[in-house]
Amino acid sequence: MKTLKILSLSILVALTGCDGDDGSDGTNGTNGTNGLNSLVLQTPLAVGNANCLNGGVQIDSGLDDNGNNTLDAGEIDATEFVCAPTITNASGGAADVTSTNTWFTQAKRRVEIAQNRAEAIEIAKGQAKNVILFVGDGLGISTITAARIMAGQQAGLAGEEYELSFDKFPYSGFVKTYNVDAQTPDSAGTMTAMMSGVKTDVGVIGVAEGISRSDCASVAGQELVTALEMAEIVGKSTGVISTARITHATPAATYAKSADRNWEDVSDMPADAVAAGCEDIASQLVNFESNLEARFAGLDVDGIEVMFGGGRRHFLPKDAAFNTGDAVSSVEGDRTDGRDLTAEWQAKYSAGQYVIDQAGFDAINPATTERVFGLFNESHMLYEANRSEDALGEPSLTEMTAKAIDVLDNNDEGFFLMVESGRIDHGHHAGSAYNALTDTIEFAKAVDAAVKATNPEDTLIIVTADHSHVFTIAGYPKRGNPILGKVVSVGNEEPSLAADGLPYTTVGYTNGRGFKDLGNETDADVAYSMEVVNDRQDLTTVNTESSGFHQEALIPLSSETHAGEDVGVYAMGPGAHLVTGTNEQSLIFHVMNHAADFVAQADEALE
Amino acid sequence: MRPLSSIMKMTKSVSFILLLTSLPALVLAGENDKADSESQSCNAEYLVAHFEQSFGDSNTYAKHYAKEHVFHGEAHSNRNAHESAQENVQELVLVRKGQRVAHYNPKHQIANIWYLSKQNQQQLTRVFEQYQQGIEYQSGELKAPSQWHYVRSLVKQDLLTRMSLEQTSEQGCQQVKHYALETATHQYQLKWLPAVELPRELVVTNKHNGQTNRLQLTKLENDKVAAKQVAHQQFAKWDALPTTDYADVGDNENNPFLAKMINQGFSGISTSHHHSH
Repeated sequence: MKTLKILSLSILVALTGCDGDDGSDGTNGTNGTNGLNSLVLQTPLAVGNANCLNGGVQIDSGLDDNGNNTLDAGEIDATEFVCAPTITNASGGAADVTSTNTWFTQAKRRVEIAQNRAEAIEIAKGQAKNVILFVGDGLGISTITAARIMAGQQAGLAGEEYELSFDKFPYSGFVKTYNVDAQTPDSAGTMTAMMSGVKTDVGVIGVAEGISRSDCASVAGQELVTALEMAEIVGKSTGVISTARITHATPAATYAKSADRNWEDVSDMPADAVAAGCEDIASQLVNFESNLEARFAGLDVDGIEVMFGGGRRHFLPKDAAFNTGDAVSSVEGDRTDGRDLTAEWQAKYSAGQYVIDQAGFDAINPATTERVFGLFNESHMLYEANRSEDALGEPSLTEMTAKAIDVLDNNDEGFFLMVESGRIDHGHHAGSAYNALTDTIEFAKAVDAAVKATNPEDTLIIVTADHSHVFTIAGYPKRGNPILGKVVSVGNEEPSLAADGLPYTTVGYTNGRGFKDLGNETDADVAYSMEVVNDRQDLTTVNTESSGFHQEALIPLSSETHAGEDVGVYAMGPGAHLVTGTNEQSLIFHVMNHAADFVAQADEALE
Repeated sequence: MRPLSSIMKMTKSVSFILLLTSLPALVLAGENDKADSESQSCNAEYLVAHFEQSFGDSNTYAKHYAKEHVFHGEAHSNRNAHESAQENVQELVLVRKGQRVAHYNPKHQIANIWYLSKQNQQQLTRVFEQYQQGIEYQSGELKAPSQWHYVRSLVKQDLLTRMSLEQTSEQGCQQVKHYALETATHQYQLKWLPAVELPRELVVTNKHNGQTNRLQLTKLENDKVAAKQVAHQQFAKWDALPTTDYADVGDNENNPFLAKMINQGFSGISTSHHHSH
């Protein structure tokens, strides 16, 4: 620090005077005490200083009481600030070019919006009345990017600049997805982490890592409590939505405890597990209320209000007499214990509505509906791209989300809702970017519907994925190049050629079933019955943007695989500020818990 | 028929396509039904039909055939490219029970089982007896309307439509209609059993390379009572096996059978058969 010292002299003045002769000089008086030096200290101030936001100089002054020629803190008698002037306008050629540039002004505006959001956000614990968790199964970062571009191009834009609904959320971060025992995870372990705050093993549902997969006896003592269960305990309404089977790993992790994700109905379980008292996942869904009450003495809950998804097979007996009008198999049900769980559910909840098709869904009046159970397909619901092919019709994810919120918000205590787009994962497994991306776009629409149907002051919305896939966006395509197209580089109109002299697509897979050219086919699963192809193809005359095109894959596998890198997490509403940085996946639960104060309120309710 | 030693090799395949039932030339487009209304009194709903199918040995032809089937959605078949390289005679058992039809390969113990729903959707389950496991495919997989005729009768409707009736022999449930067709590339000879809607024999000859493929009915069980019972028992045995949606295979790497599918492009055919040539 530079210090400028100014020393002032202290002057002693002796007064004398007489009219006669001067007498002899008297004796010298005693020397007076030395005066004090006056010191001034100047300190430069950086931009952002509280007293000088644009920087400047701080001037401290005072007497050097201790004579050390330094203006110590206790010696400062006065402080003044000389601040630099505020720059209110950019000026000059280069500055003008920068400040009027669209990228510059858009980004500047985003900062202002973010600042406003940050100031407006509720950060205190328990501010969220409602919590909605959106999970895109297999929705890795590259899938989000490609879907964003595809959605933008469908809207007539170049695409890259487009924003999916959750791209606009004010807070985002990264999530490490690995399971306790697996570097590349599956949906069961990852969703358990999100719902309970505890990371666990691959393939298990709602239980901690002390479990041995498929070992019924190891479940006892490992059961975790989920956010949905706590929401029930505190009196909120609850809902679960999935385009996969409602008993599939992701939705199951909200309500079930199972040593194996595949125990979706009793016929999927080993006999000894059934004999030992382990309950299949479908049965746990229907018995959710009584099972939860049994775990906590004196607890009285009212059960899950909204359940939408596929998977009728796990709720019906293996008997053609129980087939619905929407059945596609000769015997729709799989259950070998003779139980009709849809009937059991209806018996428990006489005011509830059980629906299996679009007409039944449309007939639901959310204002008067207490609870609803929708099973729209025998197995997984269809991809969004071929949804219209279902014989009796299936609602879209957006429709299910909007209607669920309309039912759930009838409760003044608020609600918890989990929404899974389950077939993004299946599109990728089949090697179809088209199906994965069209389902992702529908997922983003569902998020948008939730944003519009709720109040950001009392509703936390989190959007994330359980894991990613080996899906890549590669090469150097020019701006606006069709995301499913062949790579056409900047300044060119013809596709770039690889070292083998053949064109190549922007998106592709590291492994999987590889190339298929199925024209206008919209069901990715068609490719499963076809040959795995891993050698390079001449795509010159192939329409790679068609719904039936499956991208090339390097490693030949019968099913494309999950990937192990981080996924994104996006949030808005109370508590959203906690979604930042790189975190373990279990953080998701704790953010929801902070926002809604689940644990404390549940403890209070159980006292 | 050429000797086994002349069978071509196709080494690149890591196919999950199984066992093409019919001859390649059967795969054509079109509609029209030539089922004989007089035959309705003869039992065609419950039956067990045994076929022997033999394949020629043209390398070029087989490769073309495999590619055509792979890329045009005709893979719901009982023969794959691997096998066309290794075996030129196969046994096929067709089991019919109402709206359910199975194509069973006894050697590999694999059955493709189709069901036509009331909504006219066709659903396929592939059963691997050796592994006591089945794989289910979504119904949207089989879209071509004529596909069901092929599944049920091993001959597509449009082939019947295009062929010329040359003569009719025998009567009633035993009636045989002799059809023929010659195109720029192939000659077709079909002996058709309208009562049961099955071929007694279909011979397809490639005019360019002389390769002849043949589908021959060797035994037919269609006694109303006995065949119904046999078909019922057979389907019940297959139905008892656990199944997995193929869409779920990718999430089941812990299952040894499914892990093979994921990691090795496993076709379900045992190794000893797989590399027998």
